[in-house]
Amino acid sequence: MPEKGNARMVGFKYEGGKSRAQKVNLSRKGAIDFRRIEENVNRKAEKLFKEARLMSLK
Amino acid sequence: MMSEHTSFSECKYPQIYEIFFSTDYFGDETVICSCIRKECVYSREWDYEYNEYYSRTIGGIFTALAMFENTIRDPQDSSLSDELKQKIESMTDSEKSIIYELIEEFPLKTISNSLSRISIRIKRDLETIYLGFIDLSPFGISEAYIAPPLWMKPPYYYLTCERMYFPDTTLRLKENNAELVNCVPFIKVQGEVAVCAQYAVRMALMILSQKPPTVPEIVFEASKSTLKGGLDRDQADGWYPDEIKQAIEDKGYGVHELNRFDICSCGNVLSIIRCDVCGVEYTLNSQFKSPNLENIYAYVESGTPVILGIKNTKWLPWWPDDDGEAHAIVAIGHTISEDNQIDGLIVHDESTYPYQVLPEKLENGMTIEKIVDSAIIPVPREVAVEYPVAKGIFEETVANLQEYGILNNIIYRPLLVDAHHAKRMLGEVVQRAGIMDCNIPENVRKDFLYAYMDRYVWMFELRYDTGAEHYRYAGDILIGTKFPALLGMNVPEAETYAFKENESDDELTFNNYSDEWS
Repeated sequence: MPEKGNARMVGFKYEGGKSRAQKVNLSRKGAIDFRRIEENVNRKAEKLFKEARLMSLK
Repeated sequence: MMSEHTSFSECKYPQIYEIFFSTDYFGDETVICSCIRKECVYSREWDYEYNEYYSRTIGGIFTALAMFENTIRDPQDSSLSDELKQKIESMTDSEKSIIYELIEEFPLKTISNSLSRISIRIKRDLETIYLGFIDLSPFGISEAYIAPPLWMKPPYYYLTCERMYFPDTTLRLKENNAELVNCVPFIKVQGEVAVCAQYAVRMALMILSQKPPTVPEIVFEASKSTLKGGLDRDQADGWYPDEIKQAIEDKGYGVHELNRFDICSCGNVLSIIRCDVCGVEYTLNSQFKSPNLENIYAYVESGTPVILGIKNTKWLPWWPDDDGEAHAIVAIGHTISEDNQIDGLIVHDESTYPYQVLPEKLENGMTIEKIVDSAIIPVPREVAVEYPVAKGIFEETVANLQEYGILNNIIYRPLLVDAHHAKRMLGEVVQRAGIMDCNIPENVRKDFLYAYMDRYVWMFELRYDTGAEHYRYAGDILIGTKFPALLGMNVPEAETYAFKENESDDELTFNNYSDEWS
């Protein structure tokens, strides 16, 4: 634990699932399929945004 | 007029003493406190309250007292019963003269249109510190621009809505002396004018702009356009959340709302929406936009005040233990525990006191989420993506990245920032609060400086807790606010970053740290 007054400790711990973690050699260029991640995330984003809008209707 | 004292109880202004006492303002410190009173200053807020409410009330009182005096002088000329007329006529002249004196000196016959400003300073050893000023109307505290209590400071207390304020020229204590004060402005409810909801709206607007509308202006405009019942609406009635939202939108802001779902009398949570045309049903996540600590924190940490609709005041630690009632207060900061958890909010309660701590864990197992019915947040109109949506996008991003074994056990700090701020954080060499080492390669920084960003972005700053004094930088994820989408990221662990080159681009540009930059 830091000493009093030294650091600003803010934030929340991310508690997501990690069970599907792969062994990836990160030093290899292109090891992570970022394009696929972007597509997944933006698909999910649309869904969440729609859900938030629907909630505003209630 | 200056008064100086070393003891609280010597304070000659009971309303100010009450604020200092209720906030334990000086904590363990022994200081010499001095107040300078300036009479007859003009205040827009008090002027509007006076002209919209009190001057009319005073006129009514004046007329009623004149009628009363005439009745005593000539009871036969009144519509009183014969029995009462006889009783008045039987009064002696000395009895009548007492009544005339009472009428003459009735306190509400005149109320000043100006108020007094009390400037407060303290002396600590050889140092003099200006704390700010409090405006006293004839009915008590009107507005207060005073610095947070002396003990309310990092690393346990953060007043994220604190700003530098300076009074209008005519209100300054000395000519050409700006008297700047770092504070979160506070306003006290005048019950004859309006109730907590309206004052909470005014307080949020005071925090966001230097010249906010007065409460009478807010109430009058809302009566015309928003309130159910229109101009006939009784000012003593509070506002419903949708009315607060509309009143804020009328002032040019967008509004985000965190609330829980309606619950049927049978106990079932109403979380299904059904299309009237095709009959398709949508089941919504009842926790998605819950007014919990994290969802409120995300806005407060961004410097945006959050209006909290409290179910019952009996749960608020600074309220008396009575039956309680629904209430509205404004969150202006947050607290951090000794083990580095965000464990509460700092609030202004316009009905009682400024700078109160609302802990996450209250008595009888209650939490902030349980006592807050809804939270209403004024945001720039361009910000269409609410925090719960941005958080969902962030979680999906991290979950995907974690599949590759990176970003495990991270700590994230969400912030709603303007593009300038985001570009500065990612594009310039800056020291970040609490992070020891945040070295972003030069080519990465330059790409972020030239990148397209929405006017505002949700920025999730990622950190690793190393157990040392400071966190280790783990990257940033940017979420758009105009449309719900990834807007960029920097992931040092994968030596990769992404940004949007042009607004019209459908996809992000992903680069590796080692890519040649031209």
